[in-house]
Amino acid sequence: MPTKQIQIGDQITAAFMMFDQNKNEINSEHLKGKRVLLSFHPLAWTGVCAKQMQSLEQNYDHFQKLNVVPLGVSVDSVPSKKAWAASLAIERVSLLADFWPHGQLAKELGVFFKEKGFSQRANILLDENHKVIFKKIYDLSKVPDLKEIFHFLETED
Amino acid sequence: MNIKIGDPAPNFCLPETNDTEVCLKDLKGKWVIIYFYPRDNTKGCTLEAIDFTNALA
Repeated sequence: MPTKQIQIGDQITAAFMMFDQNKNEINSEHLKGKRVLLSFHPLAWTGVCAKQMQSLEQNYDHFQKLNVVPLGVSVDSVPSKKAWAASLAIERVSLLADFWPHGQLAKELGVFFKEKGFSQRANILLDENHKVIFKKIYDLSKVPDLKEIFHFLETED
Repeated sequence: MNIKIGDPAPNFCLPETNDTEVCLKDLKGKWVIIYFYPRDNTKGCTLEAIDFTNALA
């Protein structure tokens, strides 16, 4: 099991930088002022993960309205993410390659399976200052329900 | 430690594309080419894999 998980209320102190499926650099520093949903999934090209990413894409407008940038994250490489995004018709959501150092962000946030070499299925939501405000680990066989996150965001304050 | 010509290959078992496990020791008696490539879904690697597939026929 992963070690030392990040908790609600924790601040993400070290900026993270990764490339998405289109080789765009996504730097968390540039996302300050926006909420960020880190949607971790085990591996590209698998059924549940595909549905998880498609649900981010389908809800992109809703996320935008709530000032949330949804990011899909797994240990797969950029070329793999590119082909996968194309096969799923994902055009708006950035699919980040936590490829090298292998699973670095997943490890930092404590959602990496050491024995398996990939991350847990998890949603970690950061506020505008990148403090963790929501976190949930999901069963590997389950597609995360975004309604929970929308409900959380729409009923806060 | 790079493997050298003349060295015996260490046994390994790895899952292949259909998720069945391939072990080197099970291929005793046959010539084996182990070819490494950088990353899936890239041009050169794809061509290389297609080359190997075609050469099987």
